[in-house]
Amino acid sequence: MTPCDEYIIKMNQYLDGELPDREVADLFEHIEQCGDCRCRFESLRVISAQIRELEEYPPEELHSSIMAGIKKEQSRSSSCRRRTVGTVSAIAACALIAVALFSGVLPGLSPWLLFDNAENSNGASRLAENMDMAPAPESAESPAQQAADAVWQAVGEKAQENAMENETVQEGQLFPNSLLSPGSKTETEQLPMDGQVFVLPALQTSETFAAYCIVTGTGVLPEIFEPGAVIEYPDYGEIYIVVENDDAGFQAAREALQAAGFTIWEQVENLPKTDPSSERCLIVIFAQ
Amino acid sequence: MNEKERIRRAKNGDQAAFEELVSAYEKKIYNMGLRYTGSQQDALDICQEVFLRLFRFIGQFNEASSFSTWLYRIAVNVCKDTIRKKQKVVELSFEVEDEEGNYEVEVSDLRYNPEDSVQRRELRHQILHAIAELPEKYREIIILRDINGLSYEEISRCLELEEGTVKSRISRAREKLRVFLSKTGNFSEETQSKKEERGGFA
Repeated sequence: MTPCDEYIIKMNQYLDGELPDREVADLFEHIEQCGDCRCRFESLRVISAQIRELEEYPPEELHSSIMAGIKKEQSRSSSCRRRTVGTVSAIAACALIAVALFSGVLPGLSPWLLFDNAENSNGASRLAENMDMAPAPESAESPAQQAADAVWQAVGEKAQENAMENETVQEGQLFPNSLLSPGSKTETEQLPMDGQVFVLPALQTSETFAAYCIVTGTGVLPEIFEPGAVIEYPDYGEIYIVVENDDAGFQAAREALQAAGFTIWEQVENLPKTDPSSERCLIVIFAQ
Repeated sequence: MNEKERIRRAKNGDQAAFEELVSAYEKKIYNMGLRYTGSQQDALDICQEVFLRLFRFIGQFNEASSFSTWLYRIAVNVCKDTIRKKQKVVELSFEVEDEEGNYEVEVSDLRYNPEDSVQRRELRHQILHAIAELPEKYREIIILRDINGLSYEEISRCLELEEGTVKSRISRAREKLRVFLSKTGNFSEETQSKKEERGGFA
C-alpha cells in the first residue's frame, strides 16, 4: 500500500459525501502537495459526476407493461385463493402444528405462525378479506363445519371436543381463540407432530429462505423436484421441499403442486423472516 | 401519503398504493438493469421480474427495515440472474483482481472541457462503454452508488459486504474506470510527473 492509497479511498469517500468532516482538511492538504492525487481527484470528480448523469428515461410502455404483468399474476393467485375457500380453517391446523413444531426447538423459527390473540383476529379477518369470503362461521352451517372437521382430523379428536365445548366462535373471527393460542396445552398435546422434522441436517441451519409456501393436501407429488430436495415425514404428515428462488423453481413448484390438487396458502401471517435475495425457498406441505 | 403508508397499504392488497411504489422505483430499476446488462430489452425484462417479485413478496417485507435497500437487493439478484443466464463467459478489457491490488502509479491528466458538447458526448459514450466492461463486482457497486444513489451503509446491506469493503471497492472501481478512460483517449497520455518535469501544470 502506497501512502497515496489511503487518500485515494478518502477522495472517493469525499466525492460520495461519506468522508467525516474531521478528515476533509487532511485530504485537501495531501491533494495540495501531491500532483498525482490532485490529477486523480479531478478525474474522479468528472467520472462520478458523469455517471450520475447517465440516467435515462425508460420507454413509455414500461409502466403499463409492469402493471399488466402484475394484474396477470394477481388474477392467477386470486383464482388459487378462491379454490381454497372451503378449507380456510385448515390454516388454523397449520398454526397449531407449527406451534408444536417450533416451540423451543429452533428459536429462530419459533415465531412461525404463532399468532397472539390480539393479532389473531386481524390476521384471520385479513385472510378472510383476501379470500373474498364472509367470515361468519356460525351462520354458514356446513362449509364451516366441514372445514373445522378437516382441521380437527389433522389435529386429533380429543382436541376437537375440548375446543368445541369450551369456545364460542365470535363473529368476524374464523378460528376460536384457543386454536391459535400458543399457550394452550390441551391442543398441542394432541398433535401427532413434534420438533423432530427440523432436526434434519438440511433444515437444521438457520438459513433464511427467500420465501415460504404453505401447502395443504394429499396426493402424488409432481415429479419436478430435484432428488434430495424433498424431505418427507409421512409419520407426521409433513413434507419439506427446498426449491430455487426463481420462476423455474419456486413458481413452477407452486403451479405444479396446484395442478396436482394441492392447496397453496397465500397470505399466511407471521412466517419466519425471509430474504428475497436468498437463492432458496422452502415449501412446507401439511398432509390432511 | 408517504412511502411507509404506501407500503403498508400495498401489503394489505391496495393496488393503487402498489402502483405508486412501481412508479416511484421503475426508473431506478430500469437504469440499474440497463447498466447491469447493457441491453434495453434485458432492462425491461428485469423491471418486470423485479416488480413481480415485489408483488409476491411484499407481504413478507419487514416494515422496520429500509424498503429501498430491500427492493434494490431483489433487483441486484434479478440482474445477476439475467447475466448468469446469458452466460457471458469472458470479461474483457479489465483484469479481475482483488481489493488488494495496486493503484496505477502514473496518473494521466484529464483532457476534458465540460463546455464542449462534442467532448461531453464522447466522454459519456466512453463511460458507458467502460461501465459495461467492468467486472461485475465493480459494475454493480458503481451502479448502486452513482446511479441508484445509495449510501455506503445501504450498499453494504444490499450486497452484504462490510462497509470497509464497500469503501475500497468503490475506490477500485472508479480507478478502473479512470485507467480505462485514459487508455481510450479521454485523458491525455501525458502523465503528471512528465508535466512536472516540463515545469508547471499549465
